[in-house]
Amino acid sequence: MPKVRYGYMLLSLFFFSLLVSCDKKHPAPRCTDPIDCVDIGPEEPIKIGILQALSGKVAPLGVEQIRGLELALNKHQGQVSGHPIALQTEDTGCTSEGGANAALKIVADPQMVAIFGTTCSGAAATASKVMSDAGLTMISGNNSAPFLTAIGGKRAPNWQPGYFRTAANEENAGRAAATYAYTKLGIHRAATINDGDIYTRGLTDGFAKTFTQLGGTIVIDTSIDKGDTEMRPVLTAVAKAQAELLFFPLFQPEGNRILSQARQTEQLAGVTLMSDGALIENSFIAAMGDLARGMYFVGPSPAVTDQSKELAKAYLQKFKTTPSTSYYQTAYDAVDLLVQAIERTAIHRADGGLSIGREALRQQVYNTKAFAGVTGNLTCDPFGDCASPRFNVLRLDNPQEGVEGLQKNIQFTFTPPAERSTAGNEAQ
Amino acid sequence: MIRFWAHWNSGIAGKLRLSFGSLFGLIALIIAAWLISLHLADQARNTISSSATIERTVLNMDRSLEKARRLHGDFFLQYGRIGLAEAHVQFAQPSVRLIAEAIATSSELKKMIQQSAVGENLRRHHVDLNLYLASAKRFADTSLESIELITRLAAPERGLEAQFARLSAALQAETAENDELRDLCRELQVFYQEYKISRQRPVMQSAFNVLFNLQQQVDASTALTVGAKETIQGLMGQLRSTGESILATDLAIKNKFNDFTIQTDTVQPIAQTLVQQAAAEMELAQARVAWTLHISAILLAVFTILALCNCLLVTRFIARSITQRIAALSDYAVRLQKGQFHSTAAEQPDDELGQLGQTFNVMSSRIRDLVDDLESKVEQRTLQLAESEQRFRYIANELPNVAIIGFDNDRRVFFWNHACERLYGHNDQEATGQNLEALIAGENQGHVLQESLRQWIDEGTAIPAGETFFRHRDGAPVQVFVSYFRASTPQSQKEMYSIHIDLTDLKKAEEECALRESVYRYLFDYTSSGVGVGEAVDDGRDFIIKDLNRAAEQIEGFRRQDIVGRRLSESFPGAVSTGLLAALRTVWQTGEPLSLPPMLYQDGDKRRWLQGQVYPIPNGETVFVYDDITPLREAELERTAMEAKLQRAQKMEAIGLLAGGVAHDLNNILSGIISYPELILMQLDENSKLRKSVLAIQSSGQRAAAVVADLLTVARGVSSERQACDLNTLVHEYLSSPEHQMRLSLHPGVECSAQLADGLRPLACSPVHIKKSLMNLVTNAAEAIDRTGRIVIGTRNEDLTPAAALNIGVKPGRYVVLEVMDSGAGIAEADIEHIFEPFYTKKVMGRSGTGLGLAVVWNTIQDHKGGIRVTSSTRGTTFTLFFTAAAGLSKPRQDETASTLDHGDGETLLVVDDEPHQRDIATQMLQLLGYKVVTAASGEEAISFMQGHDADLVLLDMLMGTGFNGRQTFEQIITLHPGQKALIVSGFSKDEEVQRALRRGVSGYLQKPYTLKTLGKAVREIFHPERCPE
Repeated sequence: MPKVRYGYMLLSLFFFSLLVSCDKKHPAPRCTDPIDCVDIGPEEPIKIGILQALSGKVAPLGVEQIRGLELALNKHQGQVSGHPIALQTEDTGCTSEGGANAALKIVADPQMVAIFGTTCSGAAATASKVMSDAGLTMISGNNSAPFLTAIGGKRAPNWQPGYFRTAANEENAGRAAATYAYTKLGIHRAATINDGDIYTRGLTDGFAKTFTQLGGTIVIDTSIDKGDTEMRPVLTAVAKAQAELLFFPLFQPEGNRILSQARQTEQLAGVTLMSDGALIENSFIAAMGDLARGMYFVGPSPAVTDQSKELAKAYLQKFKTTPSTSYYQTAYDAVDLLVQAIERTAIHRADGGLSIGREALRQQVYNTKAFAGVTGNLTCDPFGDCASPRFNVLRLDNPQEGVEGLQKNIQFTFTPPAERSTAGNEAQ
Repeated sequence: MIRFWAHWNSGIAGKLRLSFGSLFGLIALIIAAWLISLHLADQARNTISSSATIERTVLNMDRSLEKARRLHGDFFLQYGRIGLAEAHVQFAQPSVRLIAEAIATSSELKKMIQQSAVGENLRRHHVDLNLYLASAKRFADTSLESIELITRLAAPERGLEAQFARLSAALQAETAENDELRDLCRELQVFYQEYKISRQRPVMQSAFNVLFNLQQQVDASTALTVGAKETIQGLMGQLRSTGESILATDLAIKNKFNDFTIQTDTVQPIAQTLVQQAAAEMELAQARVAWTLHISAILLAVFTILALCNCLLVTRFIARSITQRIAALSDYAVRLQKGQFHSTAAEQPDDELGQLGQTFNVMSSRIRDLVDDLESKVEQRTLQLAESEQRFRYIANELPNVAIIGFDNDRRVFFWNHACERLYGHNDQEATGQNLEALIAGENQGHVLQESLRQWIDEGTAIPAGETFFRHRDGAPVQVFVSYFRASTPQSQKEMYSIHIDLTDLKKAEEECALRESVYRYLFDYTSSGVGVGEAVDDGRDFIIKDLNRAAEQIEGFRRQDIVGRRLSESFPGAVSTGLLAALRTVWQTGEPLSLPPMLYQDGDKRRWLQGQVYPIPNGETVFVYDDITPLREAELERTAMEAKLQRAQKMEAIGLLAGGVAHDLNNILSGIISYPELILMQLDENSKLRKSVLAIQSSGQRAAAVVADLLTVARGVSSERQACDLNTLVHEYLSSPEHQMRLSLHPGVECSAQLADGLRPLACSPVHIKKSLMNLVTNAAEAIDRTGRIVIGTRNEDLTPAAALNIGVKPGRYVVLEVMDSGAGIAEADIEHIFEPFYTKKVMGRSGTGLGLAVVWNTIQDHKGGIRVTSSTRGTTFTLFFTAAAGLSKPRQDETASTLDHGDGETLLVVDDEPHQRDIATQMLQLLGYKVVTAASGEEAISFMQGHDADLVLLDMLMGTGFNGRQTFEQIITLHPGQKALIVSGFSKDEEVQRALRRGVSGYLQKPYTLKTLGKAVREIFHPERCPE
């Protein structure tokens, strides 16, 4: 009997030790990813950082991005590879410093898998560097500055590995605007105003280059600062330069101020005003009203597909309002593409957890080919551009019709030559 | 609870284990509670310490960063007042140092949180700490960059502002002479100063607009020289460019400040959170310490009280359940010792001591029973022993064939069983007390037995057991097997015994057995069949010959002693190939007898037919009983051969009858075909066109006649006339004959040679048929050779032994051999058996042979009482013909080689033939030969003619219609003309009728169809008989 009792004791000790060992976390498989792996426990969520402009006048753009994100997550039932998605949302304030600091908050968490953002290219320029240094993957549905990816088929100065976007590279938006101004409107003297941001600067540079190549003259190429309220001096300069067209691809509120003060400047009465997609937004049109009548806008050609129509219905159903811009579509595509890339990269562990290689995830996105998005088939090039650029020049004839009416009033459509086909692997 | 009571009731050991176990358990709990409380308290103290350190570190870090920010702000505020260099020393550099300290502190803090014993809540803030660390680093970078920007903007002399001021002053100097330009310059200065205060870009833009106006004024001015204009324009361009740089730098600095603000907003909450979390951790840890101490104190108190209670319970239990009961059991044991078996020990409660009490009670009860029962059991056992002793004594007495004699040291008998009485004649009473040797020893044996017994009894010299003779009471010897042994009584007295076994019956049985064996041995040795006995070895793969009877010795030619003990496979190698060894093995393995069919045993020169049976015998050996049936078997084979020969003869007889029947008529027919052409040719001109056709008819007729001749040879045999000939001469005659030359010309690649032995014995033969046979064999050989080859014709003398003669089918004796060898393709084994049959041929009939060639050879040999042997292989065929040598030499035979016709001298010849054309042929031929010819159509007509006429010679056809035949006609004629010469002509062979005619006096015989030459020769030989007939 004593032997049996000792046996029971030993058996109990064994099971106890077994329980203790079971309590420990299942060891993660050895990571072979060149950067690192994110190991996600069986019950843990997949963390995705959100960097958007959620304050100030550009907030509507950021909100549209968030709404596109929510629609995409709805499609995936809020899950990736069987794990819930946890979002950490940070406001960039649409500034470069805001982007950098917000990105720091995101990358501080080593469990963070990827970033969706930013709204503004200026914020993206700093945030993408922080993100790239941390080995993450970042995708934007709104950035369009050429400096972030490629200019002229070559790697742009602010290109960062792991950065992608589904919004079109607006290098060609400036070309589209210049081509329309020179060839259709017959304008030979033009002025450009940017706000120093890489987005607006990229557009004015693109415009100036094409306009000059066509034979036109850039009579003034100047800047304002974000937050400037007094635009008369710069408008006076435009007037003094005898510009026939003013191209000012600015955000709100600077764009609003330029427009309103230009309309008050007699010398600019005959000057054609042209802006870009950042102002193709209902809040701008509503704020400017008749002041904006006759103004031109250059922006990406919105998708009109069955999927985009379905998405528009879903948008209306979910948010009980019509979208203020069309960028929620690119936001939807960006998140959808990212989620599917994570699903394909994630390695399912025996314990129910996941292991996601950071470099593997990047390569998964780089290898995207003919991804069926609501904006069309997306193919990511080595610089991170996934959308096919196609631009419309619009004229606002009836402010009451808002963005919807504006986007229907297409004056000119510009499809750039297939530059991507010549883009090598320079970025890689 | 049930288990507890089960343990409690299980016994003292269980109770003790339970009591002390619970006691030790309580002590262990006290110790564990104490240790756990110590551990928890220590852990909590560590947490407090770590939290305090973290709190302090966070505060230090935050303080450093805050101070750095403040210094940085002061740098911005003060650099304009105290100078950039001084501001660097006072504010910028300390700020950077403090930032570096904050970064180092945050790194240290991160490690501290990860490694120290802080709570999980605080540990989760490592993400915030990452951010704090990253923000601090970024603050450092931003700070340095902003200092650089400010330096770029405000550095004395080389800063942008200094450059702008210098350029502005230069522009003012250049435009001092022109009022309008000077005013614009002042306006520019005003806007610039305003910008320096407001740092608003539109103000600078206003300055740029003034520059634009100034540009237009300068361009429009006529007062300024071109050089002055260029100088002013250059200064304006530089001012514009510097202004743009100032704007960009100011924008960057503004962005940096924004960055600082954001960073402050980011890190301040982190530091506060960390401090709060650390404080919370400390409070929590302190509370945990207090709680731990409180709980552990309560637990210790409870466990201690429980332990004391447990001690009391154990003590009480030991006193009541163990100590008092052991004392009672000790008293009981003392009573037992004193023999008080009727007292009892306490048996309750039912634990170990209760069981001990039960055991004591059982023991005392059993001891009591044992004491009571012991005497009766002793008496019973004594009685049983007496019965047993009686039983064994009876058995010893009544043993039927074993005599047992017991005697003491003085050899006096004290035991004498009934067998002794039967063996030696003394009864028990007579023997008891007598000396042993006096009872059983013979007259000369007593002293020896006495001495042997004395030495055994006194000195221990053992008497070996063995057969010996003692004496019966009546003096008769008694043969016994005797052995001696010693036994000790319970009183240690020695008793001697001897056991005597009567061997009388045994010896008788042995003698009978020996007799039986000798009988069987006699049967074995003198049976007519051979008998061999073998013992299997190597698992039946071979047998050792154990015995062999005389018949077997005679059959095998071995002596028994030479072969017994040897292996069967060595002594009789043929046993393996004949299957005898396998049969022996089968019988040995199965144990079933086996009859062996007749088998041919061959071993070197030994060759004999055996038949017998194999069967096993009980000792495991195997016996082979067999007979040599060689004579019987050979007789049987000979009989079979004879039967085959008879069958062949009958077959040939049948063919002969058939052939003979047609030969006569054929020859008559052929006479016309052979003879008429000859007559026609004699009348034709040498150049006649018909000559060739007629010659062809004649040739065909001759070939047909040859076939008929062969047929007749095969059917009726060769002429019985034999001549003593030299075989070599016959071979030479054949080799030089036109037929042989013609044959060789048909086979130009065949070389024919002769190897003829000298001193060849003479041969009694029919030369024509010998040469015919040789020709047929050479023809066959030539046709068997494909294109090129050799034919060798050989002759020799050979004496055939009986065995060799048997193989050939002739009698032993002296033979002359004719051999024809070729190098052809050989004859198939299946064909050899049939090649001598008529018309059995592999050649195309009618082209190269008649199908009777080898049949003629066979018949020739048979008629000459000779033999033939055929050996064939792919390298060629050899026909060897054996002819009986003649007793002596005869006159050398001369061949008729004359080619001229034998003409007559006008003699009268009577031609008798029932065939008109035969008569006509004979008439024409004989007339051509110079004879006068008279004809008769039958025997009767001839006799009638001869009754009134004479004829020098009568040509008589042998067979003629239904009347007299040739012989009968001749017999009638010679009655009319004794000595009448006659020539018998027949299309048949020289059969018995012809022989009779010849014996009656007929002068000669001529075979139809005949030619002019043969007819002339035959007639002339009758008229001139001095020439040797062929």
